[in-house]
Amino acid sequence: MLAWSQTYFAKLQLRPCVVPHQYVIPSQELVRTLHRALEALQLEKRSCAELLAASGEQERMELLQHRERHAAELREQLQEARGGQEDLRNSLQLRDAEVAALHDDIRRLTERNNTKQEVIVKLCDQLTSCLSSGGRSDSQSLTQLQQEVENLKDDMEAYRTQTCFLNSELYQLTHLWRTSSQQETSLMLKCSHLQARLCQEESRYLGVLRQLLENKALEPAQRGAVQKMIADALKGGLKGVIRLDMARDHDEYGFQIVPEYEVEDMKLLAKIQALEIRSHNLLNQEGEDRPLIGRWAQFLAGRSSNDLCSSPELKGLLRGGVPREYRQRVWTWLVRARTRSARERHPQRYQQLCEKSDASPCPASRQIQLDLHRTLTTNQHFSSPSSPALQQLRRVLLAFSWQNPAIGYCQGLNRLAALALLVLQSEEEAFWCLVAVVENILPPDYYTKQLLASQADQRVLKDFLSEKLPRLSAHLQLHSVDVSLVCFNWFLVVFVESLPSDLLLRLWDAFLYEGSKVVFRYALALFKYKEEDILKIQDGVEIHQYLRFFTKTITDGRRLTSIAFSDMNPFPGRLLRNRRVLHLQRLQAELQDLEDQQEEFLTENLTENLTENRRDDKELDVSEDEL
Amino acid sequence: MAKQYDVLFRLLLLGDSGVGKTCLLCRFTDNEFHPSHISTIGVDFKMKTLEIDGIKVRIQIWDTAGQERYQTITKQYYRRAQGIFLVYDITSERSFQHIMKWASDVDEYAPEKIRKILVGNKSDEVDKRQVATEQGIKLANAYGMDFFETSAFTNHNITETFTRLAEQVLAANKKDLDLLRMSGNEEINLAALEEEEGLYERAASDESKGCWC
Repeated sequence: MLAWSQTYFAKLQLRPCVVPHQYVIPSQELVRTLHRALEALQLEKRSCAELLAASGEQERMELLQHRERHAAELREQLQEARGGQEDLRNSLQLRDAEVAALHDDIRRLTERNNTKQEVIVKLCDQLTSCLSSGGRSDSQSLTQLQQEVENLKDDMEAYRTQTCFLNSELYQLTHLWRTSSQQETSLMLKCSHLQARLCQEESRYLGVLRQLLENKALEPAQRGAVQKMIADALKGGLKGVIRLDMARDHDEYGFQIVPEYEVEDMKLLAKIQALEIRSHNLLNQEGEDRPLIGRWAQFLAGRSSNDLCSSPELKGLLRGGVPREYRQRVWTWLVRARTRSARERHPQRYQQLCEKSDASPCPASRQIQLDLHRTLTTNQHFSSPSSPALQQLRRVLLAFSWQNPAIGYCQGLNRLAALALLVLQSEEEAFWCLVAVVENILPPDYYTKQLLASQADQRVLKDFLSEKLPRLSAHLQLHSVDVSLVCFNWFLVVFVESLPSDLLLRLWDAFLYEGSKVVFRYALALFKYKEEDILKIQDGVEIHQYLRFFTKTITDGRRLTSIAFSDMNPFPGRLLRNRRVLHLQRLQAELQDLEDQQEEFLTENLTENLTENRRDDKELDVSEDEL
Repeated sequence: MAKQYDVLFRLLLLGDSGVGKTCLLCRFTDNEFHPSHISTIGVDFKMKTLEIDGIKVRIQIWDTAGQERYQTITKQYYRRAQGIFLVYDITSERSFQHIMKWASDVDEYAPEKIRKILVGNKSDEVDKRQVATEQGIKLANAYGMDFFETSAFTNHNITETFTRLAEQVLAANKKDLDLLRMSGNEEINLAALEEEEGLYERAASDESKGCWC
């Protein structure tokens, strides 16, 4: 209590000290403060009175305690108030800071507002300037544009008329071109007819010369003149005459259209034949092929290559030949039909065999390599040593030698494979074609070690020849002509390189479908076709010579086909089979005899050598040792 | 029509595949060389007429396939031939080794008095030579044959070879002409010498008898 009052007085004493320094403070405030001090003093006096009034020491104690408690409360309140004041001061500072920040914001916003207003003003200025000047320029450009549009419309009109004019010109020109091209085709046709006529006339002329030369009654001077004429005609050259037209030298498969003749003695005859082939080709290009293509197109329409099924209609069509545009498709089907089961069993057969031939050396590869460059040498696709066809051929033949180790490789198979490659345009299909021909169409042992079945077929052919062409057969026998000298070749390679390409392919069309009977039919038809010519020749050697190349002189393929398939009828398959079996048996027996003889010869030789010819033998032994 | 020759006979070309039999023949009959001709299948032939000692000799020359399996076919022609060319390739030892096999086949199947001649072809390919000329001479001597090295490519010794064999065959058959007639071999016949203008070229036949290599 005392302490409190002392501080209070201290405060009071302080105030009069402050007052004189603060003159500006109004007197009321001083009064008020004094009032308050007074009030406090009165309060103090009252409480002192209460304290004094208290009856006993106890009461005074209670009172004092009460006051003490009160004083403590007040002190707490004061403390709190001071804390609150501190807080308030802090918050005030915060607020001040906020206010300052807000002031800043306001300043910035004002600045921004000012700039924006400036922009607005500027834009407004521009707008007004634009509005004031724009109206005028717009109307100007619009008129300009309208003017331009007008001009363009004019131009368009002009162009339109021009186009109309040009169109009519174009139409007229097309018309002119069409008529002229029609004229050209008719002229070409005329030209080819005339060339055909020329060829015919020339061949007739050469024929007459040839007959003249054979005429005994000719005087030496006349004979000399005739010989000179022939020499001139041959020198003039086949090529000079034939190259005049636009026909090609090679067909679509790369074969020469007019085959070459190498026989020296036959050059004149060869030229006559070449001229005839040429004239025949020129005349028949149009007439024969068109209807054939039509029939095939009709037959193949709507058929996929897998569902061509055997039928008499197909057989007839194949005998007539497949047009070039369908041949690859038809052959592929024929080959597939013949090799179906084998291919289903081994779908990757060709690839596997190729890998095998790459991996391991093949005993046949030496002979294959030797023959590669001796295959269809006059064909464009095989004539160049770097031609890819040769490598394809090598792979096909090597693969086949693994496919059929009993045959391996036989000279002649190269020609079959080459033809298959040319037509089928696929190595794998060509391989299967070779398989079809060798393993499926031709009899077994056709190409094996002794070519037995091939030899038997020659005897079968001779049987048929004496039966179908008895006059010719007798004539050949009379002059001891051995037809197998030429026919063995025909059969072994199925006429590849023996017939002009168009005939060869037609033969193969039927051959792949009907089998080797076709080869017999054609062989007989060839003899029939030239029967009269052969009958005229009365010398065995000359007949041989004639037979060697006459197959390449066939001009009328249609006639040959018709002889093969109608004149040679009946041609029962059973008869062919029976004759084959018969001759094969005979051949085998003969071969056995031959082997026996050989053994006999060897043993005989051995004993002879041991006894008589010792000296000769010694010499031979020496030379052999040194080799 | 009268025959344009006096004598006809057949010669046979034998030897391994690829030694150049067909090339020799083409060079002789047509004087042409084709580096690529088709391989011979079975038997093929060409004709040529020579005049030897005033006799017009028509020769039919049979060309054969070299592959072994064709021998069953070609052997059938041995006995119909009067002369045989045994041809090897001087660049192939193997083809030379096989000559003995060919010769023994000829002994076996051909008529006894058949004339043979040994031919080493491709003599122009000096760089690839595997068979020395001496080896050829030795072998020919052992068999009692004449021997030529030839080149169809350069036309070396071609006419000489063919003419020599033709001469030998003619000589051999002249001696036994009567015997031949008796044996009925129609292919060889001496026709009456006719004075007829021949178109045939004259073959040179006057080369030395020493070494023709």
